[in-house]
Amino acid sequence: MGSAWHLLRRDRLGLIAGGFLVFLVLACFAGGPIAHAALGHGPLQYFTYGTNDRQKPVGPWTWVPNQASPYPLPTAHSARTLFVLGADGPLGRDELLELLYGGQTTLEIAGGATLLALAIALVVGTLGGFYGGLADALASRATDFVAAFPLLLFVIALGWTVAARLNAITFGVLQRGVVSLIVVIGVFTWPYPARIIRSRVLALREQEFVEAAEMIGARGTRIIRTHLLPHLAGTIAVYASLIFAANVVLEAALSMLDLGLQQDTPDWGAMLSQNFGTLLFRTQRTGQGLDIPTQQSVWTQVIPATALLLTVVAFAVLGESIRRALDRRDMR
Amino acid sequence: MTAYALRRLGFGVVVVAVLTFVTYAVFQLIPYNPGYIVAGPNATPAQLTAADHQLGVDRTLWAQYGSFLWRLVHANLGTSFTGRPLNSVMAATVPVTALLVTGGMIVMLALALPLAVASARRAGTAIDQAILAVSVLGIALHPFVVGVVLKQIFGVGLGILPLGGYCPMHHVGPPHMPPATYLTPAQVSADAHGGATCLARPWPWLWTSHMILPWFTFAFFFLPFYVRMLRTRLVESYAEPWVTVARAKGASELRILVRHLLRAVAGTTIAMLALDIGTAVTAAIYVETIYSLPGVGQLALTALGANGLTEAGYDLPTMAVIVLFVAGGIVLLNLLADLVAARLDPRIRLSGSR
Repeated sequence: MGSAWHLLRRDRLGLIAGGFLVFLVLACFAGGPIAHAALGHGPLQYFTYGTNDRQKPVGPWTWVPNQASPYPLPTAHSARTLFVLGADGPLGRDELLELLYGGQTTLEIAGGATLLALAIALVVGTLGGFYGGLADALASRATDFVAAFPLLLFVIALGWTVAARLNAITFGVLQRGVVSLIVVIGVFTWPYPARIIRSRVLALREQEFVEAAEMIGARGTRIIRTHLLPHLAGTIAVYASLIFAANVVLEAALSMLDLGLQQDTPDWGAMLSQNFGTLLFRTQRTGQGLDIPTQQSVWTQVIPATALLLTVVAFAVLGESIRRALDRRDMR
Repeated sequence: MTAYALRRLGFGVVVVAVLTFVTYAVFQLIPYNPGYIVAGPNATPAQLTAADHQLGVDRTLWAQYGSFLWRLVHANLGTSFTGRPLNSVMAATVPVTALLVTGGMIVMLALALPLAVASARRAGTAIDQAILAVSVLGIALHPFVVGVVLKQIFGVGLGILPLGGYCPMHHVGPPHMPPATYLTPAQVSADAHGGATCLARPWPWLWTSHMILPWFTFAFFFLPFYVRMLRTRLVESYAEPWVTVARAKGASELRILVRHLLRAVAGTTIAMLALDIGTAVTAAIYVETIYSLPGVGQLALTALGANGLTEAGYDLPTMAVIVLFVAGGIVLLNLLADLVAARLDPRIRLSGSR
């Protein structure tokens, strides 16, 4: 690992991606509360004047009258508060604060689900690969079984039942519903890393050091723990970042299908979905059909979409960099 | 080969049976009473009991699953909790999803192959790097985002394609739409835009025009993975000695590509397509939601009351039939892919595997 770390540090693209992710975590978990305190309003607070009279949210860097009700009518002297990235939609909430607090839930869900998936994959993959025989047959069948079937269909079908039971668990720090999404996503995304880990373990099993450890009478669990796990760490790091990226997207998709978190928990998918398709109203030209009085802002689509895009690309690039660093170390 | 296919089919039947049973078993765990669908939200306990009896959900799990199987044997899929005959529901929705997935995969391959060839022929150059970089971006773009952008450009901006909805083949009338009370804003917009056109033009164009954007959205979901896979396989293949031999014999680059390389990558492509069938259903759910196509994905969302418009529900007969079709389709298509792969590559021996 030591020399791989050294190689990774010289990979400029990987460093940028890693740096961005550190920045993202700091911005969401520390920057959110700081921005909240500095701006003086919260992520879920409504502002009537966050939109114009046709419900179009204000654009970035707007000073909005600091009041939830339309009256008294704001004057040039009434108290105002700054919307750095504008408002989020017809409700007139602060886009920046929603982005930061939404990032917290999105990262919590994606991270938790990744850990859960990797934990299951590690158990299934190492047991199957190391012990072989019946254990392997069972593990492989289970992996194929979960992998072959449409994830989303199962998330919808089972998630609903599971969610009803897990929604209340918060561990004191998480938002309502986060745990159930972690479980639902984690339980359905483990087959891919499980296959990779199994094939790595199969290859490692044939190495001399495993044979030597068996020779001096080490038990299977000890060999797995002290000899195999260190060699799997690199592979796991690569797939952790790739699965993390996929989970961020999946979580957003679930929100957009209304299968995600409750209404007043901010997250990126919900931010996208609350304006999902609404870009279309802006330029509706047909005289026939329904007359739609609202106007929409492009910002409310672009900002969460960009946040999602950057996060996913950063994780994907980081994963590739770790893989390249490991490959180059192995080649030496 | 026949024995192998039969063995795989037998295993597939078991898998499908287990999955549909799980669907029935899960239903027993939900704190939800389907009687409300029939008896209305203000039903008295007595009305609820009667409604439960009418729907057959007061019987044991085994009795319910048994009658599901018994109906299946008689080619009858049953009736949904909302009273719709599932035979006709599936006859209407399955073709939409099947055509979406098939057409989308064809579009995807038609885009992926030229990109991969361009990338592989100039491996390491700026073009190659650019295609790889765009494919990383493509992985990060969600179909919802792609869909909104495509609709904005071709539906609203240029106004040449409908924003959503579906015109079945041989269909005269307004586009197939959910009942008016359940329209999402996107659907209202789509109806206002394309409602009149469904009557005016001949069906081949109508049907195609409603499918073009869904196909491309679907294709973009898979495109990056296939470009990368095809590129890797093509780079390997270009280095093979038989390519050098063909070149030495004076074969043109086009002939080498078509006669030798495509055959070499076909096996991998088919194997990958088979693996992606499950994911394809997931992608179909996204795409059907964006373009309000009345396919299996929409049906599943409605059956679960997950469209956010109705009270959460769980339409068990519909869900079981959807699981049956999806799982059955996956088993059959995987088998088909393995058989075709064996046909293409004589080195694969079927009897020994699995």
